[in-house]
Formats: sequence, C-alpha cells, structure tokens
Amino acid sequence: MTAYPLIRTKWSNEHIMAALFAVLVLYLLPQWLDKPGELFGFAVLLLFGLLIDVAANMFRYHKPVCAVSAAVTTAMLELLTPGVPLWGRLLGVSFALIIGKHIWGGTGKNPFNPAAAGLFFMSILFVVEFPPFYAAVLLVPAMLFSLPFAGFRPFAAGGMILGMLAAMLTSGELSIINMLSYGVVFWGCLVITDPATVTPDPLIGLMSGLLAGFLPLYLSGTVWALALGILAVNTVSAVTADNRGKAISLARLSFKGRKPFHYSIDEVKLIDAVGEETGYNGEMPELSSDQIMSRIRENNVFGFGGAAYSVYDKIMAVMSCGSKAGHLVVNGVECDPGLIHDKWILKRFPNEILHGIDIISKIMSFESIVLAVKDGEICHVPESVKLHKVADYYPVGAEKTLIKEVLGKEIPYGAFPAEQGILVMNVQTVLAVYEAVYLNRKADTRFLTAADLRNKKVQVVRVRLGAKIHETVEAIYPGQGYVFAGGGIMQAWLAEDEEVIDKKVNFLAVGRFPAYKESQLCSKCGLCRRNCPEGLKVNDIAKLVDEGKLKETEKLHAEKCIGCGSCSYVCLAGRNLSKRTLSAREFLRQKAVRFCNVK
Amino acid sequence: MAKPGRDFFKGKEVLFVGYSAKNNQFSKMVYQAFMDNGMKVYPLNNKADSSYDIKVYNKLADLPKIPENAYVLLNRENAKSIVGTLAKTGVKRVLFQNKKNVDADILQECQKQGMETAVACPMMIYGKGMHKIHAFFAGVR
Repeated sequence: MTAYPLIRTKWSNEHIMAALFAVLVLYLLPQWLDKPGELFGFAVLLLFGLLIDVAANMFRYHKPVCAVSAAVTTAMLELLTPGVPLWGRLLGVSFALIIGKHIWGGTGKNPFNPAAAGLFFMSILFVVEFPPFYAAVLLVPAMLFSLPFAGFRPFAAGGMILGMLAAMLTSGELSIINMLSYGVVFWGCLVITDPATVTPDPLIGLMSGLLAGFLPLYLSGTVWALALGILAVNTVSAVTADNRGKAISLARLSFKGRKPFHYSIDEVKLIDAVGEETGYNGEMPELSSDQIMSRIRENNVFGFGGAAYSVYDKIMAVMSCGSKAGHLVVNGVECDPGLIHDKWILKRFPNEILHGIDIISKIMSFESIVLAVKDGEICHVPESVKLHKVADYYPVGAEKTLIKEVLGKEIPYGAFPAEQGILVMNVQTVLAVYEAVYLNRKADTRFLTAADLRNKKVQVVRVRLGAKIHETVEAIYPGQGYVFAGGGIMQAWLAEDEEVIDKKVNFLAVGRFPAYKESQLCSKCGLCRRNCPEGLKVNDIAKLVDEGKLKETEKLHAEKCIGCGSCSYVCLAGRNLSKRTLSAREFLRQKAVRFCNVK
Repeated sequence: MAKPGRDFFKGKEVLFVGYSAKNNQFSKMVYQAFMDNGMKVYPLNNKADSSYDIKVYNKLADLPKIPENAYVLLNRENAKSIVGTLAKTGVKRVLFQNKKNVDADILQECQKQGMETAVACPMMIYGKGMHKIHAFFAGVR
C-alpha cells in the first residue's frame, strides 16, 4: 500500500470556476442595471449552455458532471458580445462549448479557450461592439476581484496587461477610462489565465501574452483581433507544452491557519504506553569516541525521522567521506502538519538533546552545528550551537530541502548528504543517542503523534516498537474508525489488522478516509508541479500511470518523488496524485533492482 | 430475484469480490459503507497491486480467513466463474450488485451449491441519504 495525505485543500476546480462566474456577474451588473431586460436573455443563454455541457458530459462520462465551466463560458460571451442578438449568442455558445471544448475531450483537454473560440466565431458572423465595457465605477469591484485569478498564469497575465497598456500608450489612448472600457484587467486576469489553454512557462507566457495584448489592440482594435490573439497564445502553449522545462514556484505549501488540529504544545501531555521511567537524569560516563560509537551500535540507535537508518552507519559514512570538517544539522522542524511530538520533545527535553549533540561532537568535529526549528522560542542553545529558524512551509523538514535551507547546499538526486560531510539527525534520534550513551538504553521505544481526525484531538504517545497499531490506537481513542499509520498526516496509510509500530511509523490516527473526489477534469492548473519539491511534472506522470504506461514515467524522473504528498493536497481536481507518483517510483526502483540483479 | 435487508449478511465480515482494479470511487464508497456499519471487509481482486488505498488481496488463499458473506462486483462471466470457488471456500451468502452482474443460471448455481443469494446495491442497505430513497423505491428494506 502506498502512503497519501489524510488532509487536502478545500478548494476545487468547481469552487474556482464558481468564483470566476461570480466575478463575471459583477462585470455584467452595470449592463443589467442599464437594461434589465438583458437579464432574461442571459438566463436563457445560461440554461442553454448548461444543457449542452451536461449533455456532452453525460455522453462522455455516463454520469452527471459539474457544468460550472460552461456557465463561465456563457457569461464571458454574454459580456463580450454586446449588440449581438440572442439567437446569435446561442449559436456562439454552441460553437464555444462543442467546437471549442467538447470536441477535444472536454474540460482540461481543449487546446483553445472555449470563450475565445466562441468570440472569434461570433465576431466573424456579427458586428461586435468594441470596446465592450461600460466605463463605469461599478466595474471597479469586478476588477479588484479579478486580480487573484492572475495567479494561475501570472506571466501571461502580466504580459497581456503590459501589451495592452503599451498599445494604448503608443496610440495615445492611455487613460483610466480606456483601461476600464477596453477591459485591460478583464483580458489580463480572466481570459489569458485559463490554465488549461495557456502555458505556465514564464518566458513563453510573458512574450506571447505581451504580443497578444499589444498587436490586436494596436493594429486593429477589434474583438475578433483580441480573440485571435488569445487563440494564438493557446496555439503556442499547446505546441510548447511538451518542451516546457521550467516552472517558477510562486507558491510554497504552508499550513499556517490550516492545521488539522489546534493545540498548545505546553498543554500536551504524554500518554506513556511503555510504562518505564521517563526521567532523563543520567550522568555522562567517561567514554572514548570508540566506546560512544559502540554504545550507539549496541543499542541499535536508528533514525527516528522516518528513514530508520542505522545511526552508527550514518556517522561512519560522514567520518569516512574525507571531508575535514563537516556539518551537523539537528532537525527539529517537523513540517508535517499532523506531527507534534518533535516540538514536544524539544520543549520537554532540551538539555538531553544538547547533551546528545555534545556526545556526537565528541565523536567527530564539526565546522558548524545547527539546530533547525520553526519556532525560535522553543528552546535555548549554547554558543556552540546555532539556532536556525526556518521558513514555515512543507516539506522544509525533508533532509535535502532542509540542507538547502540551512546550509545553502544543493544535494543532487542520488547523492547522500553524508558524502559531503553533512550529518542530519532528527531531534528524537539525538535524544536516543543521549539515552544510548548516558543511560545505556536500547532504542526500542519511540515517541509519536496520535491523532483523532474526527474530533481534531492530538496526543504525544510513547510506545514500544512492535506494539500493535490497532491496539495502541484503540487504547487512546476507543471506538470505531479507520486506523491510519505513517510518517505523518501527509504520508499515511490504512493500517492492517496485525500491523505493528516499526521504526518508520511516526504518526497514528483514527478518522475517515480523505475525501479524494478523483475528478477526471484536470484543469492543468499546475499547482501539483509548482508545489513539488523535486519540480516533477506530476500531472504528466499521473496521466501515464492511469494509462498503465509505468515504464514511460522514467523519462519524467518519477523515481525522484520523495512521497511528501504535496501534489495530492493541492490538486484542485481532488486526485490522489502522490499515490500515482509513488506507484511509478516503486515500479522504477524495482526495475532498477532487477537490472542490477541481472548484471 | 430476492431483495435483501440489513439482516441478509450474518456476522460482521464480508468478502468484497472485485474491488475495482482502478480503485474507483464506487468500490471505495461501498467499502466505507460496510466499514461504517461495523463490518470487517476483505477486498479481493486478482489484479491487486500496491497502489490501492487499502489492503486488497490478490487471491482467496491470501486472506487470513474466508468470511461467510460475499459481495460480488463482477461482470456476469467472471461472476459465473467464481461461484464454485466461493462455495468451496465456505461462503454461505452472496450479494450481487445488480441484474447486470447476474443471471438466473448463476443464481441457480449458487443455490445448488448451498449459498443464499440476493441482488441489490449494498449502498441501499448500508448507505445513507439518496441511497435510502433508492432503497425505498427498489423495495429494499
């Protein structure tokens, strides 16, 4: 079973389209106030558009599919075709939805913006007034609400707005009134930002947007020219779709204010399922570095961050890398929004962790020792240790991401930090080192986070490795519910009946299945790609996995997936993308193993 | 064809034969409905791999135990071929999804093998909301 996030964004494509429709209604309001009769015409047009879309989707998917995108297309055509009779608009909507969208496979598969296609068609058949907007103050709210939509394709949007402004400037028409009536913000923020038909590539987006904004307005000043400009951008985007290599990440996945549960770390109490003494008051024994290392090895200290590596082996790898002086990074970041136990450990055992750092420093010398945390107030450190407060985003706690954040060093795929003299250890691992050396205690227990996702409760639990997951959860949160286990709330799986807590389990939870809608209507918004820490073309990988073409995912480097689950969290189509990417990764890794065995 | 009620399945365990290979929403919805009603579900699909959200068994031999109840979500051809195996492994009651998945011959074969049968979407029995309205009109108690 693969792991996947148990939480996901509340936004969906349908929400975005509904918000867009609301903004278009704001644009239409001045017209309706002036000519209330047009409202009836719009209602007829809207109903007609919805019927076409519902019928086409029923034909394709054999089930009802939300038709809000058709409502958006209809509203755009209503807005941009003043003076065209109702029958002409009905014709235009039919063209937009059938030829502009459904003939290509429906939402997300159309290379051309349906509204632009319909507008171009109508402007050939009818005389369409231009500029289309009333230069009314009433348009200001609509313009303001349009601005956030530019975020989907910021470079194309910026290009189009600049292009239109440049055209107005060169023809001596630049004024606030003209900006309103020409709809600079409308075209730039709502039309050329359609993620399904406009490239996310910064350079191509900016340049094509600039030309699509400048040339039609400068040379022609007509609706058909602007529509043609948008269709040209769509064509360029479709042609360059396979070659786009860059995606500038404007968004970092942050859970500020969207945490799955609210708690105060000072009030969290430990549930101790081990039943042994939990005090840490041992004295540092007189030990050489070899003796320290043998205690670490004999007590089976492992990495508690999730990788479950042998700490002995990891330290040996750093010592043998040939680097004169390395770096020790103690990871107290805990970026997964479902985990709290590392913060709790930092708060509860700061001295023991500092002793642990001292012990590791006795084994080898470090150029720098950094304790990376999100909350700088959580503990105080001596001068020899640098407290590094990292930005609060996910997955900043992933080993290579943290190294880049803290030391500014990029570790390429396939390379290990230890090879460059960098030792990264989770705070609980450092605590285990302390226990192994000071108290000669085996690393056979662990702290973890146990959550009740239904009631938004969370606890820190100390358990013995090998304890049954279902029994442990039942003891903490009795009652029915699905039991999940994993590395965190972003990387959990449904626990099997006899499954036990092993070295990789950091998180236990009861709750319902995450509400993955698994919509087939991917709008190519690109959020999965922008939020992927490895910059993978996640939607392309997921498409190949769905088609059963696992071998082909090698070209897209699916093996680099770190399984953070960011893509599943942000997907507006509600698709569990990380599950797909991970299955591709597993396939490629098994293929690599088979290849090595054959060799 | 018999219309089942909540008491059709005896006990709290059910074998889900044909949990979708594509892990579609319907299979998961039925799985959740069973689970929400306190039933332990054993999903089975001979194409099972590691990409499921839940543990799906590859073959009957892999199951820790064979429940007496089975819910079959297969096409007629596959349903026909599995009836004998289910009977041999100790399944006593079989619920088929709908009339498209089963015919009179399959039901007769089940009865011959000593298995009780019923035809109804389990969502009508274990689901909520609209499924209950569906159940009302379909005559499922």
